[in-house]
Amino acid sequence: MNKTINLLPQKSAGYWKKRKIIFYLRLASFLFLTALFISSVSIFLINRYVSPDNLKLEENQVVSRVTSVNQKMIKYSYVQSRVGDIKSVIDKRPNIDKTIDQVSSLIPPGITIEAFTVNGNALSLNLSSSSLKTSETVLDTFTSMGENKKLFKSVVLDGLRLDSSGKHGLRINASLL
Amino acid sequence: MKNISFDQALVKLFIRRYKDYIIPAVVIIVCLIVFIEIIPGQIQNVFTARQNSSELRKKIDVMAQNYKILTQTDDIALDTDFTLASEALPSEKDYEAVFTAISDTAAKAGVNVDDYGLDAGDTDDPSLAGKLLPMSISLSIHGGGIEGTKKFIAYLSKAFPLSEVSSVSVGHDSAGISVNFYLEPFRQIKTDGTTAIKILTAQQKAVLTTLSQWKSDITAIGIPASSGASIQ
Repeated sequence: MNKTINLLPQKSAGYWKKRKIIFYLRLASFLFLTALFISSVSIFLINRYVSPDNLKLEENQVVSRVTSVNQKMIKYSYVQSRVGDIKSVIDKRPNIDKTIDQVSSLIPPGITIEAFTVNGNALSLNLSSSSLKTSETVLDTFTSMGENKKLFKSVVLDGLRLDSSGKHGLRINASLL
Repeated sequence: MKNISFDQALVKLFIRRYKDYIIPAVVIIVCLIVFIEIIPGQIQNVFTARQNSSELRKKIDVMAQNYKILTQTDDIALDTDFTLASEALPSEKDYEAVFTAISDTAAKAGVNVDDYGLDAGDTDDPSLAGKLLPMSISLSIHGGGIEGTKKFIAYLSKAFPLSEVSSVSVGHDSAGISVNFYLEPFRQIKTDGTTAIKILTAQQKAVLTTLSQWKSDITAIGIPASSGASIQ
């Protein structure tokens, strides 16, 4: 008996190749379907988790609480914004009454302040005295303070005159610190 | 007998012959279409939802924090601070308060106001809301000399509404003074939770304490404080 006779139907090499392709196609489609399923479920769950709808209830509760103190909030915000501007007004305004005080204290007896002008940092003084010596003392005081940068940045003698009544007039311009 | 056209028969034959390839291929194609067309949109939606949640969370936190600050604030102290701030820096042109401050201050300083010139400017423009606006007044006073002028300026610096003497020119018995009174048109305040309120700082509290002290000082010397705005 011939032992080489094969009674099973012979499959061609092309058949096995086709089966292999089909197997890989089915495997790929299964993997794609699985990936699609996993992604869809994941996205659905993540969407549910991060959805702002969960916070709406909490928001409503906080809004109802805050509404009850709305009036207070307006007042508080009003005070807060005003205080900043009030501070800026207070900080930037010149202290003219103090300047008048300081400058007046430098004028010795015997000298009269005829005119006193402060405009920003500019100070202008018109003084009169019956003695030239006293006028000189004032001028020395002012220039010394200007040199030492005390109260004045600079001091300029703007004019000196003697009127018919024998009074000496002195005009000093100074720049305040 | 069914009347099948040649094309249909060909398609049926093709499907029957290649169905092992066609079904998985269709599944793959559909999956790819879903991955390309639908999934990115859904992922985008997740990010959008996350961003919305994050914004909503911030809003809730801001509102909760605002509520906490407000409930910890004493009502009476807040009303006092509100009145002080309104009197010191009014929201509207309060001519009555300005002239009351000038005349009462002048009387207490022992000087007389001769005449004045007022430059109020336009404060009704909505774009000016929340901005500090000066109302310039030129005053001519007499009596009191330098001492009276000094007192007048010192008292005026503590009187409400707040003012700033920008220049002064004192003669023998008269003086010319330029004063800026300030006002700040009311700015709409949002209460929708998008703006966080902060606890008043020590510096801000110090300003309110100073205002309160000034108010006591001027009331003590007989200059009444002006009436402030109110929120109904």
